Order: sequence, then C-alpha cells, then structure tokens
Amino acid sequence: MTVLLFGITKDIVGSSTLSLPVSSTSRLRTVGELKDYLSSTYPRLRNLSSLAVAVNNSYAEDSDKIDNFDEIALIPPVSGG
Amino acid sequence: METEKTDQLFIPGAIAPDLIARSISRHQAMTGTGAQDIFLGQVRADVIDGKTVAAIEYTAYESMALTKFEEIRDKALQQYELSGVEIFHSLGEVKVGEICLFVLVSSPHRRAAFDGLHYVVEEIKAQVPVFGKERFADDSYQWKVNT
Repeated sequence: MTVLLFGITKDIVGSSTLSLPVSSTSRLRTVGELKDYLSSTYPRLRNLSSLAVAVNNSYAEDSDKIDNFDEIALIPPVSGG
Repeated sequence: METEKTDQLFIPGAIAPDLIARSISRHQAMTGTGAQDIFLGQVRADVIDGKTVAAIEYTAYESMALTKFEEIRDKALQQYELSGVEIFHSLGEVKVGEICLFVLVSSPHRRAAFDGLHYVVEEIKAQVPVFGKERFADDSYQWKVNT
C-alpha cells in the first residue's frame, strides 16, 4: 500500500510517498486503523490540529474500508488562499 | 444559464493583475450579468515569534484539489443564482503583497453574487488540499494553518 504525503506530513515522514509492506497493511482494513498505525509509527502526526485521509481523491471517514488498489493520501490542516 | 469553464486553475507563482483584468473583461460579454464580485487573497507579512513572513510557497494534492474546486464551483452554481464562477490559485512561491487566490462570480443580481462568492471562498479555505509554507527572511519556515 502506498500513502501520498503532503504539507507537514511530508516533513514528518521525510518523503512524499510511503510504501507500507503487505505484512503491515494486511491488518489495516479501515481508514481509522491506518491512521492509528501511522500515528504510532510517526508520533509527531498526533501533534497536528487535524489529520484527514483521502481515499481516491475524497475525504474519508475512519470507518471507511481501504485496500491496496485505493489511492490514499494524508491531508494535514489545509492552508489554501 | 450560460456558464464558462476555466482552462488553467493553478497558476505558477503570483496571480498577475492583468489575468484578473482579463477575467473581468471576459465576463462583460455575458450580457445577462448584472453583478460581478471578486475576492483576492493576498500574502500577508505575519510576524511569528519575532520573524516576519517573506513569502508563502504553495503545494497541493493537485488531482484532489481540482476535484474539490470543481465540486465547490458546481455547488455554488446550484445553490446561488450565478452565471459564472472562476477560480485561480497559485502554486509555488508568492511573495508578501502578491495575490495567491482569485475568485470571480457573476450573477444577474448583486445579492447572489455576494453570497455565492462568500460560499466559494469559505469552502476553498476549509476543503481544498492546498498547503502553504510560510517562509521567513532567514530561510526558516512553518506550515500555515487556515483558521
């Protein structure tokens, strides 16, 4: 599973994409589980005032299901305009 | 009602005043229009912990941002009596005092233009995955958060 990173999440992880091995992602079935996994691997993600996950270019709920074919991105607080 | 599609939403660097002038002129051909309203977002020289912002460097999750801009535009056209919505946003570096966001709405009547413009700008600020890195004169930076 590949996770795209933007803004401050790119700084925290140190890369613009994160490839998660199948051994880790086979247990991650929902957006919420992915967020928990990433927050424990990169604790600085917990300091953000918000952290959304986009699945296939739409904001997702924690209960939404994910799989390896989805385009997944971490969206930190936005600051357009 | 006739609506116009924008060709290039993201602009490299600052949004130039002549782009804004051209958009206004283009809308003059839409003779059912009675009101145009525009919003210009300008990079502000915020002072943070004694350091002054010199520029904002914008990046975006472009595919999602374009989808979101389109959704916001469609909803605005459905919910308000608008004849056109144009959005331009900068990517890359925009210096203090320069324009980073330009929204133009047109409508037969002023009230729909005021309300529709307000809706579009607030939705952009809250929803669109664009990220501004505030750069200080000493080359340090911090990530901006919209309030």
